[in-house]
Amino acid sequence: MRHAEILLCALVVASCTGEIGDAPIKAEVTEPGPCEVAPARGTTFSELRRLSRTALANTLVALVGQSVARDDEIQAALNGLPSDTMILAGDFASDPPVGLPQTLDRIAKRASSIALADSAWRAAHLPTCAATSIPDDACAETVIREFGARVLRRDVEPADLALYKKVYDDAGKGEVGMSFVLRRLLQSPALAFHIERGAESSAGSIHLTTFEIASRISYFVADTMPDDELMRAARSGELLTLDAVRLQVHRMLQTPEGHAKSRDFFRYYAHLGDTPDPLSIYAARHGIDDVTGLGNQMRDEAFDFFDHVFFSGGGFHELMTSTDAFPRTTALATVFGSGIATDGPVVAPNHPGLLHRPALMTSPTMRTSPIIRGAHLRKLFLCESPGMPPNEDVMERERELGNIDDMANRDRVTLLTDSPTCLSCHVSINATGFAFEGFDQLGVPRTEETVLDVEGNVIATWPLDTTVADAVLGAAEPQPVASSIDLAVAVADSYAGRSCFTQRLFEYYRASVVAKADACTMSQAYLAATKGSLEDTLTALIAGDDIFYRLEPLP
Amino acid sequence: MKFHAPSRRLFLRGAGAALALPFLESLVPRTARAQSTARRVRYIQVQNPYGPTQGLFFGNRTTNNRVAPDLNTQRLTDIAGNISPIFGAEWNPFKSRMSLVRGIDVLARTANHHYCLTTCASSYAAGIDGDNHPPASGQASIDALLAASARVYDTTVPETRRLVTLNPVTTDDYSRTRSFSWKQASMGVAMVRPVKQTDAFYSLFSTGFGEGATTDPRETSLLAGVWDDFRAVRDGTRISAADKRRLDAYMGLITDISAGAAECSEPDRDDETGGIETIIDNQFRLLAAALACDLTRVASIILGMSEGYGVRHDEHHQLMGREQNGVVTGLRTDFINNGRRIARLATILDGIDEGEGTLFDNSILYYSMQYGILNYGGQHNTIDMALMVAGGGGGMLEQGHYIDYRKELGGGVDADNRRGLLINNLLVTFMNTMGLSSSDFELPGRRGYGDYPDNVTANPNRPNAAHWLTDAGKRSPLPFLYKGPVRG
Repeated sequence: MRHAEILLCALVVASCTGEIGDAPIKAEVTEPGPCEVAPARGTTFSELRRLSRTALANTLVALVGQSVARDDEIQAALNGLPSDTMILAGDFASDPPVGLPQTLDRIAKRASSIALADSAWRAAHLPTCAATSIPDDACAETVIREFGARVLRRDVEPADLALYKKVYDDAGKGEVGMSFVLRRLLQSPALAFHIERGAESSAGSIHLTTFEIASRISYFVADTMPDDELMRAARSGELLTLDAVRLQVHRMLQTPEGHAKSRDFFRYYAHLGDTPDPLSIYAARHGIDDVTGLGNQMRDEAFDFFDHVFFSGGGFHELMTSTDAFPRTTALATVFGSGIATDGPVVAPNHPGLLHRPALMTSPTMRTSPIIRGAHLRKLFLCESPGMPPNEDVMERERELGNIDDMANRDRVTLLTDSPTCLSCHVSINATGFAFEGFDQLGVPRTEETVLDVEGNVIATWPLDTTVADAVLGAAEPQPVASSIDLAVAVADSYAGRSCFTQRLFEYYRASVVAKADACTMSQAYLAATKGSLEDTLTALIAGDDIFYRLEPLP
Repeated sequence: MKFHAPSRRLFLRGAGAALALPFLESLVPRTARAQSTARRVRYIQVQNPYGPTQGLFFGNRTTNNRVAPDLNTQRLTDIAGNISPIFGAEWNPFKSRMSLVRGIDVLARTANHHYCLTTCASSYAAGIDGDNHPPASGQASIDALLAASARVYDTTVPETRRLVTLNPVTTDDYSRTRSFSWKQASMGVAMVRPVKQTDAFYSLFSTGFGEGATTDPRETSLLAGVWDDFRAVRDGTRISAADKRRLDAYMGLITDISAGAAECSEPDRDDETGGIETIIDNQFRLLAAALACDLTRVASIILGMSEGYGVRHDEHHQLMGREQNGVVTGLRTDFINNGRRIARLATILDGIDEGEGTLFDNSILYYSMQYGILNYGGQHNTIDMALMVAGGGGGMLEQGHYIDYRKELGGGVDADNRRGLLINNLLVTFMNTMGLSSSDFELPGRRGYGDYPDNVTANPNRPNAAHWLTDAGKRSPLPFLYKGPVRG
């Protein structure tokens, strides 16, 4: 359990409460060894989980195909559901949205109507016997077996067959009967929830069926139902070993849905939504005449960068230090000081790693803000939670100081936060922000701080000092850094950075906060983050012993 | 895009052209319910992110009527011209039927990016940073609490129609997936995710608007079968009690699909390719029709910004200085647009005659912002909230005034330190107006509504400070504003 303690200790350290004298807890930074607690995980699987909107949409596409699922009315119904976009760990609501039954009712009606009327669809999605003609009883059973297995994500059992055959019969058989079977299936509990009935049970853990394991893999990795290969693997019993699970995780990651989910993870990790365009007066200093859309070009570049590192087998160190860049426009290439990326990456030595993506450094402001940059980076990539200072303290401090605009950023911030209460958090926030003062509002390297008026005239210049004597990274000993580039390398080598990345992966892919019972899983994933690639880290989080189990429900 | 024929009984087109129609009992659905008095009061809250300056929201108000010590007012009809930039010309016809409420504070534990200050009377727990954390009070927001109350709805009213949470704006990444509504869920209090699209909003009421009614036994049998499928899961041996409740809730919603609600008429809708204002107006008309037909009584509306967090958040932090220097920011423009939008909603509501007053008169239209009035260094302000109450709640709310509850300490620098009354009591005011007494909203072992942090002490800068922390004080509506029956 020592490894779990290390992990939990690191999580505690990553919390700055703002209290005076809140001394950091020193954790022993050693690599975790093999995990001895199995299967510890299960806490977040003890309850019935629902499909997210993305998972439902992907499942519908997989079940009825793009031509039907992209129908305007079906899309409108889906878009009416809450987006389920993860912003914070654990913010995924367990309860289905109140509109879901009605949405599924509408979708099922519409989908069966347009699908059955389309001969191409029938040929592609139904057994041959139902491709062109009104199905007879035998054909109806074949449809129920084949289409039903896909909807239920398991083989259709005799009781299922009898149930849906009765639906077919009661509705009058033929085309109408088939329509009602499809509608009933498309509103089944499997479209709303991840149904895990499980197999044998022992010591409070229920072993899942191979079909249920296949579903977990598929939805964890790609937010969609198991494809034919996963269903085949489930039927063959292959999914009972971690090696087999890892193979499927790797395969599913390469699918378009797996790729899309990894990109959405990056959105969550880096908090990258729409990125505002920088102010044109600062862009003009670099010869950029038009800033329209530049913010989102920066964002897209950051996504491309993450994709590149993740899918080329890169690890956390590469994520934090790689000088590869993907500027697709002249304006963004100017920001990077590089050429335009066409087929592959270009090299941008001044922009190593994720922390130096312009998308994370840009701001549409007249001056850079070391506090906002510093706090942002520490929250996102070191998993710290500095919180906010009391209003009244800030007001009082600002009253005391009066106008301090006519100073260099570093001096201004140092003065503003120079009190014991503020420094309990700001000592690390400021240090991070100061190191990044070597970049302006566009994320272009600079050698001095230049302040413009609204017309773009220079009204002040200040010398820069990006050195930090004691950069704090989690529980490790503070270390001196000369600039943000040194800091990025320090983060790349830090326990705090890697464990934060691992934590964010867990939070996103498991739609959960990290609980004590997850310590073993987290330790194994951290080990992968230290020695392996980003994909290895994700695989370790998914392909752990706990994927085979769920806990016995509470009474 | 889906278009609908003009309705038979309600034809709500254009903010200024609403027709006044007599209230028809036939519009009341079969499930008509708890508030059976002639004047059913509806509750509509509207919020937007960030906070305004004093000038933008309240204008340059000074009071001229001392109602009581530390309670000063000014009649809004005494104001020549517009009340303020946010309450511009569109609000002039409503001056006697709205009140601006000044000097209401939140007992916040932190000054953070809260989404529950003005609807939960609570902040997050200390040390929490983020926008989706539940209120420290552990209590649902007022709209969700009203929606769950037997004083507002009887038990037959389905979940889908008890609380409508709309958020039509899509350009604001900060608010587009969020709401100021927090409901009790299986894992505690959770943010209600809003409805975005008009079609999805319509679908919540489609049975009430007559859609889906069928006599085809195969259709009813289909839904009964779907219900059975979920029951089979619920009755499984490996289902926890919490999951059984979750499945029961889902099955209740299935029942609602086939039950139907009423045969109310839906309003006409404009082509939404016209842009966000058209979408908002379409949703406002649908909401008005649903309220008029008693398909719902509680609504929460979130009006976001035309730009996302990256732009507007910085502008918010700079707004005070920019306003002082006369710099027009996008945030200012968005605030003013939201003022106009809410005026359009008021106009639509006012166009529906319910016999004893209009739908507007029989509603509480509550507008507030994420934060309070900006002060120097206080952008995430939790004191001096920006609040407007219109509609009068069926005659139970005093209207037509700028009401200042701040302690009389004089002007100058001290003015920044003045405190007023608590938002907890404003929300108690609304609950009293909706017929709830303290026994209907208090948590076991607690008094009043919302958060009263352990370290709260009677602030000497607050009027009658100690009283508001007593049991009686916590259960009291705001003086002057509330003129309904004593609920206790």
